Amino acid sequence: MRKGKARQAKKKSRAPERRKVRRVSPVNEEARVAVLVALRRAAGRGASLAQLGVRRNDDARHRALRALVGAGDAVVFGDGRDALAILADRAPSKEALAKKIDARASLKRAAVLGREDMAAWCSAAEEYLLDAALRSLVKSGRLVALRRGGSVLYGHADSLGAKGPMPPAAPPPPEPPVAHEPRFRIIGAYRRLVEQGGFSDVVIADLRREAGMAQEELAAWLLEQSRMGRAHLGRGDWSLADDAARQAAVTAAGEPHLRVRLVI
Amino acid sequence: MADGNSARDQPNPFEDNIVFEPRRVERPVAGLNDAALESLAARVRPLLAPPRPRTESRLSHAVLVTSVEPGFGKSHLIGRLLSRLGGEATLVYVRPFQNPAACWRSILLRTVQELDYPEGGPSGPTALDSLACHVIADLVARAMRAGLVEGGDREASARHVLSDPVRVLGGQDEVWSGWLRQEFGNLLPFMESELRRAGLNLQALSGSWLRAFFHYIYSREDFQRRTMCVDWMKGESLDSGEVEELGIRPSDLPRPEDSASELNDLCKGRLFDLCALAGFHRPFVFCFDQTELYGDDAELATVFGMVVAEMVQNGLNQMTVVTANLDPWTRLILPRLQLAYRDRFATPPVELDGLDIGQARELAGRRLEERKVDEATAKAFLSAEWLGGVFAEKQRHGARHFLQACRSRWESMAGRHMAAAPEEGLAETYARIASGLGQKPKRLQYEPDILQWLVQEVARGWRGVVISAHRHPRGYFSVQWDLPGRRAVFGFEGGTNWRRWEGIVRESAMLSEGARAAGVVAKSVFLRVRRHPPVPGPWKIAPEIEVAKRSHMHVFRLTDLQLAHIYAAHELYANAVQGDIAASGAEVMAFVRARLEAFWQRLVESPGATVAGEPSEIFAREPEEALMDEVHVMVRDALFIGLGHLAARLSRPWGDGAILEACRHDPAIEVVRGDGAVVLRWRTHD
Repeated sequence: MRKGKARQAKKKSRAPERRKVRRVSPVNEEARVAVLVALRRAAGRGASLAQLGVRRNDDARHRALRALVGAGDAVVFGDGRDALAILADRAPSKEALAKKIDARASLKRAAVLGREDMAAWCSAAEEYLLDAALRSLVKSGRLVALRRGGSVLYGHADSLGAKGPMPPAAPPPPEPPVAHEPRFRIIGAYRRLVEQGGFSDVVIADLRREAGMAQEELAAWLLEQSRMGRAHLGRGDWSLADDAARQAAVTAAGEPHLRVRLVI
Repeated sequence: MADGNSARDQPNPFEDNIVFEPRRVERPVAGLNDAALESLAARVRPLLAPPRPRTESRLSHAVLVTSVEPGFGKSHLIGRLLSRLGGEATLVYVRPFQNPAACWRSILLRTVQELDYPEGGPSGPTALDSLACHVIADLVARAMRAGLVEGGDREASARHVLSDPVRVLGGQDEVWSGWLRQEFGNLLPFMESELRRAGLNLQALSGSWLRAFFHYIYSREDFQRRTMCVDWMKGESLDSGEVEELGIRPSDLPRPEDSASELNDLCKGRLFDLCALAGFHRPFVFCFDQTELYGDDAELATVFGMVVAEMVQNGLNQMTVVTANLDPWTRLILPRLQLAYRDRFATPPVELDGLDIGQARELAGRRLEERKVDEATAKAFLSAEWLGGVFAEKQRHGARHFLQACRSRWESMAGRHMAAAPEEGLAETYARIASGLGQKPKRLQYEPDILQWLVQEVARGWRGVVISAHRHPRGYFSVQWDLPGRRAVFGFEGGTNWRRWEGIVRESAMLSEGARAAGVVAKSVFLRVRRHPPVPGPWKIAPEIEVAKRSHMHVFRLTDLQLAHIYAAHELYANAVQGDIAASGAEVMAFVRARLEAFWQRLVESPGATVAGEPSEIFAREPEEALMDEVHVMVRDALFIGLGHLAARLSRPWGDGAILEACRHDPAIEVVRGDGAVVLRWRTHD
């Protein structure tokens, strides 16, 4: 007891100014932009810390990456030097991966698959989610886990031909939106264009190209958003627009609009 | 439709939808672009922080204000900023310069014109009075605190001088003003030293600035001396007598033989000196507007970028604001700016919003109320059905676009068709702008960039004239016209330094002789304004200049009426290029070119030639300069005078017709006709 009290007394006597204060350095804008550019280039593959130019923990690019993660713009899988960073709107989800595994495994009739076989179907980012996806597929009965010695093999419920009536599968949980849905593609593309150009009102033709969408689909979506006040169409300057810009114009209130600002 | 009768009986409340004068803006709509205004005001705030003088106040970036299309309220925002700052800043509205080699001259000229304009009315102090008084008051207070001034409580005296420098030292307080007039010479060495010690890196000697300020303050009744001070600040040459009178150091004067580039650099130095000295008083806000016009020329756009970069780098106590519509900016200007210049703009830019339905209702409702539209008509006009329809597919509209929709709706309610083919609309708009400018003496100052634009751009295509740049090493001439058998070279010389004009006359003679050898009749043309003193003045080379004016040198002293129409043409073009009116820039150019037919002819004919034209054609001829000057001064001094009385007091029997023609060309004079009497009234302008 005495020792403990002595230890406590020693702690209290330490002068406040001798405590280390962790300084929080601001995010360097140049580093932030560099990290974003690298992540965009990497797209769905993701980028390692080395590929992002992170040399050591807490350097400018590392801080920039942390800030992006904090803001919800990027996701990091894994940790340490093997971590993989990817833009949020390109990041895979457990549910999407589970669907993919389910679909592919169902094609492998009368085959049992090891984890490595299914890992071969995954991108580097998806592989981080593989175990969780497999657990959810086993839980839902889409995969059957088989033990062989120390290893686990999986068989698809369809190809194994379970004897007897299968209990009805629980209804799958509602799926969260996945990155390839139009809204996310458009918003992701919009964010990239704003980041590159510096202006909130982007050219609709550029948005279409960046999102990789058909004109009709994009125009319909933009018009719907405009009606709801989530997109503000701008007429721009028709005389300065090239053919591509004019063709991508969205007509609203009887006039063609060359630009749009999304409310996000 | 309910109350169509009311609508038909009243003028359209939504007729005027373009802000021509940002200083006079409509009351803002609640919430619209408040964030943009706050952003701008916040950026200026560091420039207002005490204590004075602010010797190191510098903003790190210029501000870009953009809108996705015209009519979102950029000019309105600048006007709101000025109101918001409430006299704590000097706004300088910079229109696009036309001559890249004289860009700084152009900006300095606008700045000094702005400073030299009375703020509170024709007899009130100017912004330059305020600046000069604040600089001198600060230095005088230091002298008092240092014990250099005998008698009285040092600190109390210093505080008194600083309490209201314009009133105490600017002439209202006769005791103190008289004291300073007497003691200025004694205090000057100390003041010069203190100004240097303040850490301001002035290009001109501190003594020259102090002398210019002192003479400016105490020359309110001496127009010539005051003009000398202003000319020096504009970077103009002064003759030796003027130099001696003011006490300016010769090293701080441009030399007549200086090249155009040297003159431009000197003007840049003057401008940054003014910015530095603004630390004693209030900062500048330089607003570069109508930037679409820089898109016409790659060199202009590049130089514009350089100008903004240098303003940010070297301009103390100032905020540079650039307003632009997004497409012209991103497609025409930005690609021509060097990367280093682009980085001088703050990111993100200030981006304007459109109106939402509530704001639209408020804006239209206020306009109806101001125009005294009855309640029933107003209610019918702003029906939920109509407004809901306007905002069905878009939740935000540009303010001007919405007001245009209101204009159409009003006409529809009144059972009238909307005007007009573009040409008809152009004529009306042009006349309206010219009339408006005629009522604003401040807008009728010398603007060499607009005059150069006129002869360089508008005249293209007139009778096959070939227009080229004429880059004279001393900046005497800028533009050249060539027609079969004829040549005209244009200069935009605002100064009245006789030595410089001596050089100009000699160059003009050489040009004329050289062209004659090639079988071409050539002349030089100078476009000046009525505010410029006549050329020649009482100079020893006056006879030589008079001879030149009869043969190869044509000096126009444009009347205010002509100037109003020329500036209206530029305003009309700028509105077209910015998308503020339905017509295109090309349509406006063609329209203006046709309107100025008589003027083009006079520009190419020999100086004394008469050009045919209707008596009402204002560009076919001007009244005699001497007559115009006399009439202007007499009516200004009398405020209200009968035609007969005035005629009797003139130096020559000009005749009533000539006098009335002189009045027609002077928008400051109103001709009032009564029963058998004609009275000339001096207009009181705001």
